[in-house]
Amino acid sequence: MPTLRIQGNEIPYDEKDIITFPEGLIGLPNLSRMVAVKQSTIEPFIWFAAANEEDVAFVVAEAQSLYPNYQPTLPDDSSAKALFAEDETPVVFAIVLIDADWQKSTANLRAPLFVSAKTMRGAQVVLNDNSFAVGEPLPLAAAAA
Amino acid sequence: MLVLTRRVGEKLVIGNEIVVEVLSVSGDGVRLGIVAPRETSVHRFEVFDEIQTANRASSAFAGQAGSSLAEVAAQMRQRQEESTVEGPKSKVQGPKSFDSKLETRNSKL
Repeated sequence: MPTLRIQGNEIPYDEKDIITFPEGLIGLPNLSRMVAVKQSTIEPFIWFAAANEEDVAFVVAEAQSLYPNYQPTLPDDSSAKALFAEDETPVVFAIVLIDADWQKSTANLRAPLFVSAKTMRGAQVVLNDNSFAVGEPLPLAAAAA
Repeated sequence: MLVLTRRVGEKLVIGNEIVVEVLSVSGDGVRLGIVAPRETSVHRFEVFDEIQTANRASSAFAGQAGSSLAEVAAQMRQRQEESTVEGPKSKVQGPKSFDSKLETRNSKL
């Protein structure tokens, strides 16, 4: 069984658990094979770890779980449309950027990851709506208080 | 860098399939029309660059010690508990569709 490494831990995974991003991520075209890994200490976040790159992993979250009103749709002219069936609702993940000062951590709502749970294929899509921020502050308990 | 001069209404071709047309010029603004294959994404450079930078910063985090990450995650869970009291609307939930796929690996970390 192949393994990947997250923060020094060897994690075994199955080939069928790989999410394929045919175009890679924006600016990172090599990251075309990612494995979703859950870890109790980082919930509600999960890891998207690169299957073909050592020690590369993103912290992501299902976007709507963090921002209930965030309901992005694929632009009509997006090449990613081809990845999903007409009647399929993709799962939308936001890439999280953890800051050394944790209160400054953000999520990327401008370019979320659309993933098909059915085909395990996905794409990072830049939304046309520029009111979505690349660095949207996380809805932290401390900030809401 | 290749530098070309084009007038309004004139085009240029990149590769065999990408056509860029100068639609209009107004002051220091130039309006361009782009025809490209579906699989070729076209972005304003500033947006592309900002996202590329954010992607690289996010991926670079993985190898580091995760004290900040654990702290943020704990804060998010705390918020989940608070909002559960207030009402279910803003409840923080895990990625349901992937839960079953992920459950098996949970114990390994």
